[in-house]
Amino acid sequence: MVLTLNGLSLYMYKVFLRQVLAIPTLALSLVALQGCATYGSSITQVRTDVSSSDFVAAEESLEKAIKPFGDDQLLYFLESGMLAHLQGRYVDSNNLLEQAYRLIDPINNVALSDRLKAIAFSPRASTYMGNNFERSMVGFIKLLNYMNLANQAESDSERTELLGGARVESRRIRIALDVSENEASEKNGPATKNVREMDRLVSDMMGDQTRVPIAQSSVPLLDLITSYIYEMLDESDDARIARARSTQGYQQGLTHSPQYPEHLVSWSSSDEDSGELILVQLAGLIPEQKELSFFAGLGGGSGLYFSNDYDTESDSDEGIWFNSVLSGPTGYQVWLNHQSGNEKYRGRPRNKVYFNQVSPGYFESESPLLNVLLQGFRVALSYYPSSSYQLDSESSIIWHQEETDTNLGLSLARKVANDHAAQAWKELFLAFARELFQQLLAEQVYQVTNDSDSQLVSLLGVVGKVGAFAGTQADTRSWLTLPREVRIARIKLPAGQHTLSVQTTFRYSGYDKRQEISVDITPGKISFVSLYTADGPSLNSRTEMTP
Amino acid sequence: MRLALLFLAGFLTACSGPGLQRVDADQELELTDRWNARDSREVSESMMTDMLSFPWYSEYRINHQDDRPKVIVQQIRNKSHDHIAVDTFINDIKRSLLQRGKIDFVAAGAERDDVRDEKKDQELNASQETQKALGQESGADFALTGVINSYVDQLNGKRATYFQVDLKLIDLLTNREVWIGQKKIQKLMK
Repeated sequence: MVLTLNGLSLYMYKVFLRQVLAIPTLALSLVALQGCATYGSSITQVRTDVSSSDFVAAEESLEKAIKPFGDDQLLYFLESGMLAHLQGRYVDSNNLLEQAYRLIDPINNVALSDRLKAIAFSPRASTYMGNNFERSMVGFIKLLNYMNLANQAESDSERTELLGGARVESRRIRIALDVSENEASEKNGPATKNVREMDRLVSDMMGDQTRVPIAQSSVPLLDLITSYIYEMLDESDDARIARARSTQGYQQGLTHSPQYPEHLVSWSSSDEDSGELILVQLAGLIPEQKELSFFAGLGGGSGLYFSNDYDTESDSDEGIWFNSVLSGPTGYQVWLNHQSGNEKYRGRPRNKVYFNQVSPGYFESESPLLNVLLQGFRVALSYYPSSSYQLDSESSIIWHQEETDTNLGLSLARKVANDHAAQAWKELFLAFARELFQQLLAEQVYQVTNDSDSQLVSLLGVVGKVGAFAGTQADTRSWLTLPREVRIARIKLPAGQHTLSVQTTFRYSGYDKRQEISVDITPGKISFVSLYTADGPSLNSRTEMTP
Repeated sequence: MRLALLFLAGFLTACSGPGLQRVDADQELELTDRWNARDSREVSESMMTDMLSFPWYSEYRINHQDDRPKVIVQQIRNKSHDHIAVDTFINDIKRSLLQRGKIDFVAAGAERDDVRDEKKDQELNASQETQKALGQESGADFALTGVINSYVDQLNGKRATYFQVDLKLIDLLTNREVWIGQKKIQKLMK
């Protein structure tokens, strides 16, 4: 197509652009404007239903909100796989999540049309590809499914086979987490000439975008659960290795457990009259991403600047993210410091940030690029509210006259927010490049259509330019039925049937919940059960709470 | 202007629909780097050829009046990151050896339990002349065990996946490991 066009005369070329390009530009504007609703808002009802423990209603709400095809296909399989798990339909859940696992494969090449959609329209209008955190969580929920199925197995061989399935998932979790770490050192892969040129241009203006901080890949609680799987399979060497990795993680302070889980990492002590129970509790709902936008432009003698309208002095969520991300590649550390509550290292609140890489003299005078940069435009980013993502819930298991705290937990909310912060600088770079591309396109079409004798064509050019400005948005999509946190307990019980109570308190909301579970303990064996504890009806205010 | 054309090209590219191509049923298709039927067949054939080339086989035939050794396939554990149909792999192993007529297999695990249940049922329900008596099974001479493992390296949009299959044959009388075999498969996805 391009080769054919190159053969046209300049006059024909302009006529072609007037007649043809103005229409897609208008389409661009309409598509961008249409997709303004965030993904979170489209499945609010699903999350409300989950918070009320009404998983059947949540599934019905999901079917209305998203479809198993199109750009949100992956999200459909992730959300429906989780909802099937919550209803105890473990086989269905595994099938759905396996489809998600295949779609989320980072090696999958994105179709050219999708790449162009992401650049030309908005990332929200492109196919959702997921991320490594979600890939590891697919493995985790499937692992729980296999463990639950193994607990219901009717023969030893079936149990072993199902535990083998859990072992496969534990391997996949480890691979996904390792890939996250490797990605930090990745160089840009092969790109088209246009993309390379855009990369170079934005790099010249913003500096090196490849220095992505290393997100923490070690998740000791997942290593601990992996060690339990090996233990249940009588593979003691592998159990010892997984346990050592978990212990090392705790000793390095990679989690915020209130105490070192000595009793959880000790070897099994069951005897002929007793067995053990491993309880994994999922609680609450993971926070959803929000969108912030700020103004980007080229100052008279100061180079590229970003400015925002947020109240940075009063620690607004947007202001904190703006200050973290725009601190440059080191913004991740600023975010972590804020998360840890260490105000000393929070950094100075700023409403305007300058990148003194290039000045206007760098650009060809009166070029569309310079025009666009001098006029300025808005850039949108997704972010997580700055609430503390420490463990929120406290729970204990009560049976007969005894009580055990499930005092080891993992805050998935903290993990997902920190991972997002680690990638934020990269996202900023991409968002700026995308908006610059859209503005350039709109500017060029505007200049061509502006000369047209046809009022309609001129109008389309103007609308396209306005649409490109107004349609700025970030991709806030993520897997939203994941739990906020995971807790684990391991207790020794006499052989036989038991009814246990699990008492949970959500610290910030004060919401209490008591759940009963029935377990059958086999002498000398480890039994497994997982349960979900909804955090009650206060979902919508959850992300705004502070400690 | 070049950017504008790129944008237009995106529109046109998005218009192309899915295509369908008929392929020969015997043609091997590999769309991903996951363990597949071809891996299962190639690994089993290669490893069984290696197993029969070791001294244990000729020694057994010499010492047992050219009788074929009886092998039981015990556990082959899948410790890889892929959900591998281990039963299919075991069947490929058995098929590879039975085709050559050099080894007899005896049933193991759940299959053996089912056969024994069937015999018990025959004692009650089958005619005396067609009953198959309990306690007449052939005892295995050797046990085959193994493990499938995998390693994954991924960087810059490329992924190398290694599958490694380790099998060993154990003399049930003496506990001697008479054969140890290893086969690796490497796949590069980009």
